[in-house]
Amino acid sequence: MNSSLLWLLPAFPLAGFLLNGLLSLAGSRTAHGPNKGLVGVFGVLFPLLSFVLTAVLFLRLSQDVSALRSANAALGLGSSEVLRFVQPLWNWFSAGETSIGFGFAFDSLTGIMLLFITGIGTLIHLYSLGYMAHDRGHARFMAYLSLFLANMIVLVLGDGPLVTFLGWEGVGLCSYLLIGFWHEDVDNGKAANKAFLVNRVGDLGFLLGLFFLWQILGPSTPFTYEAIGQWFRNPENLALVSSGNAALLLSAATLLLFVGCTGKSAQIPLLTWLPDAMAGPTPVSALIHAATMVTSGVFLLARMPDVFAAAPGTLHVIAIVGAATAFWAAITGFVQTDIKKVLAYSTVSQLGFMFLAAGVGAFDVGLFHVFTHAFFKAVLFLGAGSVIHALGGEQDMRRMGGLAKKLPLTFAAMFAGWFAITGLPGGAGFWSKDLILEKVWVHGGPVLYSVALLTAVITAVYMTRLMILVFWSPSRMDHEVEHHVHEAPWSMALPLVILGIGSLVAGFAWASLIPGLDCFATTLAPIVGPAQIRLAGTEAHHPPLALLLTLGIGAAVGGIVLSFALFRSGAYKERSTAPMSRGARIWTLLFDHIHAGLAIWPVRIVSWVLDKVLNPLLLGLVRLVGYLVEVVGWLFRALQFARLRLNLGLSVTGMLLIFLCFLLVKDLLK
Amino acid sequence: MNLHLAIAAPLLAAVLAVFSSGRDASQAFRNALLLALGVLGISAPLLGAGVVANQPLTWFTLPAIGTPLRWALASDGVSAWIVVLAALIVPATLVLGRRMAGERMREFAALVFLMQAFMAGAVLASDLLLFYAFFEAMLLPATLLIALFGGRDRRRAATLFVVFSLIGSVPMFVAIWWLATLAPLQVFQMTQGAVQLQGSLAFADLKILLEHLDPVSRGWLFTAFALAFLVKLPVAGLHVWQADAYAEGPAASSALLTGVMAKIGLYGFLRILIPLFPMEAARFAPVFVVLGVVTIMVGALLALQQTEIRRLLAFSSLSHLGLGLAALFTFRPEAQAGVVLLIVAHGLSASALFLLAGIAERWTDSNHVDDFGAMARQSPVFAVLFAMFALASVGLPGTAGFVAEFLMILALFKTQPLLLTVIAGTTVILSAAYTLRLVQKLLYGKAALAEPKERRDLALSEGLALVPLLVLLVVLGFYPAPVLSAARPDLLQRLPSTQTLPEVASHAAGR
Repeated sequence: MNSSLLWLLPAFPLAGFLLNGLLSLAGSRTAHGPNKGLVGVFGVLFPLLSFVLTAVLFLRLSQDVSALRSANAALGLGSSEVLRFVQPLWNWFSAGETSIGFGFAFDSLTGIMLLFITGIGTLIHLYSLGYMAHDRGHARFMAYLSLFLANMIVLVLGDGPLVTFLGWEGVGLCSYLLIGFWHEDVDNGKAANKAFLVNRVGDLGFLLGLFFLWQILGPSTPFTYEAIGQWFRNPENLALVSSGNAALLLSAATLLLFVGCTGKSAQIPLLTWLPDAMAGPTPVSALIHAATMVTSGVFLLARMPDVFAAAPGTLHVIAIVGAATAFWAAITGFVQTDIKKVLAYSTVSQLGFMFLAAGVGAFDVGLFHVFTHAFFKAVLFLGAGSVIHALGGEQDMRRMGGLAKKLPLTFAAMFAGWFAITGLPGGAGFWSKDLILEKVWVHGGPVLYSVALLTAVITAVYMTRLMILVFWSPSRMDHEVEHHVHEAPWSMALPLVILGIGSLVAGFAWASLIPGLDCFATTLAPIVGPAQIRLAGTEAHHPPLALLLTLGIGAAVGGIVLSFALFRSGAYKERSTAPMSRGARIWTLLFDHIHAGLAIWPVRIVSWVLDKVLNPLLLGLVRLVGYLVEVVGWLFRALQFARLRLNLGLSVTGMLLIFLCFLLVKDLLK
Repeated sequence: MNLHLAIAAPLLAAVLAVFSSGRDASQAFRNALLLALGVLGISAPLLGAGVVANQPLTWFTLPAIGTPLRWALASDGVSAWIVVLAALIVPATLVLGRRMAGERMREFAALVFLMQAFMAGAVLASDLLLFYAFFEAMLLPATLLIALFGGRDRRRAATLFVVFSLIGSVPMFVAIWWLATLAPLQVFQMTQGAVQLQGSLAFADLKILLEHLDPVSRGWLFTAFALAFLVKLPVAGLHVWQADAYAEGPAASSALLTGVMAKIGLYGFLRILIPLFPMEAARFAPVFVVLGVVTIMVGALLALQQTEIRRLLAFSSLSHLGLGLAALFTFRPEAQAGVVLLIVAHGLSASALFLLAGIAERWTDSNHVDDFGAMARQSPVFAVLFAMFALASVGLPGTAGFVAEFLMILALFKTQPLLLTVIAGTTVILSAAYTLRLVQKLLYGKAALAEPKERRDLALSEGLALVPLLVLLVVLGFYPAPVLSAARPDLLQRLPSTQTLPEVASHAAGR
């Protein structure tokens, strides 16, 4: 189906970016900065418009899908057709046999992603109005946020991998700009650079992966998701790539694409940038570094499920990397003292869960965790932001405590988030995590399952630790700070409330235990279904649901009880106010050390040698030649060429000599 | 018609600039700017003209040999884009170089126009001798710009520049003389009575001549030409002049050197070397690919170490153009399209960065990156423009540089061993590393020196002079067809086809 409206989805926030960007530049010279009301209107209105348009399109698509389904049912046909709105725009570039189109496509996967991206995006724009109200650069901040949203929409909406890549690098740029938003602090700038560079390593993987994929498809296949999906659903082609050279190419393609995912979604080994990214303002952490951008990697896998399903080896790698990342980051989150760092490592850990799900062939479950995580992690970050805002910028949990009574609304919202992430029954995280554990049990084997379950326990421990240190323990704040504690303004409170409710109810989009509540799965089924069925085989699995449920709930409850035992009974002071131990620091910076040893220092040393040794050597050589020329020139000067400038004289002489030679040669040839 | 004009107009502008007031610099500036815009207006229609050539006129005949120096001009899309690129950069150079030129605006403008005329001549010439004349003539205004308006070490920089350029072009000069002596004889021997070929060094005739030459001589000629273009580009090993010339010369001349003159090195490979010596190009292709890839790495690694703004930018140019060289010798249509787009994209972004760097250096009276900082707060307009051009130069998708890099790396991927492709690909990471470091040092952090007493930012005119370059970079990033199609029809005929190159064909099939 064609739709001529798709371009508006990214165009709205782009307009917001341009308007606020111009306001920011124009206002930089005035005494009070740009007009806050105007900035606010532009900042919230345009994302809201995108959200409304997404909702309208999604409803229309759902209606068409159900109409198609009933029509097919009436004819007695199974439906495997994917419905989508498409808007091919123009030929982006073509050269030789290479031809890339620029266009958008909107199917149910895009719809789900866009609903929460624009929805949460709008809420966070609103939240930022309050959070950044006193910052002189608030217009610039809103402009960057809108630019991010536009790029994120392009990433999701692109009809082919290269349009996605445009958004992919675009969100990286915005992430860079926003991490370094307070740019007078050099550390923020360094964190921003690190984020950009680590992501670029992943992006190179992405590009090379695309090249390999292209080589498999051949130049005649258009490079769109639709065509790629069809190619990989064709049994002949599947037989072709299942062995020999083509299988090798496919493994290379999928692994390299996954390298791209590890960059953007902060997985082992490219995860070092995300904790540092917390240098950005907190709304940024909520929107970009928790709810949306960092989940792009999972989205990319689900965007091309048929490709990855054809490379089971790569899926194993993805599952193992996901599990390892989830476990490592959970431990790391446990030893942090900065509230945002805890949430950052928690994000890395939850992303690991998503990749674990995708790796065992449950793309829809992975996406479902993306969906629920977007709500509860956004509310946790925004709640943390509200705490930081109330305490005048304090982020160290050792200097918090007792805030449940002082910030009741923030506490309620964060409680909802905590309820969801620990996996207590009914919360959003319960449903998605439970599904992941179930799929890992069935397709992943006992080792992966144990790691995942253990990680779930640790998750409950460190999140409860956070709640105890911030809200439930006695206050450890300075009197000055304590005196000024205040609840957030309405613009911040409203998003907290909405997202808090979301993290309690979002899971019911796919409450697997309750019959009928599975609209999330049925919506995605046409897109990821065929690939998942191919991976899982046709025989029905009957996992011991009761046992798995007990284990899952047990992990959450056990973790919470353990955490209370560790931190509640007076022991919190010694255990949690001490500085981070040496072991904890090494563990936290493990991958930074690896990067430094394997990449950064070698490059530095080689470039130093080039600059300080080889280049001067070369220059010296040239100088030597120069001196020789000068000596010759001096001789010539002695031969009464003295008036001529050195180079000119030499070149003229040379030319004359050569000319004479040629005259001679010519005569000889005759 | 306007082929002559494209060269004559800047030449005339140079003459008019000389005749404008030497005392009133702002009058001279206004005149120069009007002239530059006029030249732009005259050159722009070339883009739509397609492949055009004029009727060659015999200028004079070389004594004793009888080879005529012919005023033969031709333009395909590639030459047209380079001419227009220069015409776009020149107004920006005049506006942003205004403060630097000061009272000597008249001389500055005249030299810039002179350089523009010679550059246009070099890319429009379709006769080897004429090309050589322009190619060498470029040296004169370039050297004078460095020597007259440069920094502390300007004399050394100018000398290095001249010496190196001569190292490059003397062998080419010898080669051309050799060809000139050969041309009449050879043609006489092989095609009796081919009157229009008689003694001509037009590219089309040379191609026939060279096809009948013995391989050994052809190898020597190929080497001589290659050396000249490798120096102009430059490649690693022959790059020593570059950083000095770019850093010690005035920012304005660096902008022209990197924006256009360095591109004539690439153009020389694209238009002259590969079409005239298809066999040798194919045989030595691996050497050039490796040389290109090494240049990418060396340039990027050296850029990481630099502490002077324009030295860093110089090595960045080295690295980017190395990719162009490596890609060109894959002989893939993607690579040719990518290289032409690289010429335009890098020309726009690098020259803008050099011009902005020049402004920043004047403000702080320093060229050391550690003496800057906090310009995002002090000079927001400058900061926005600098950041945008920097991002364009790292090839962010949505700018022309991305499409260019994508096509070139794709061509390497399709024809070369994976290792070379990956090494070339690391340019994506390393270019971000040194460029972001530069952005960080200049725009962010705290001001290293004392806060300026009054606000300093780009004047409106300075901002406006750069905006067209930025707009073009973004437009071409989303719709590069105007440039890519310029690379397509005519060049392909000139370049070796896969049928005539068994090595290339089998190499491609083997993958």
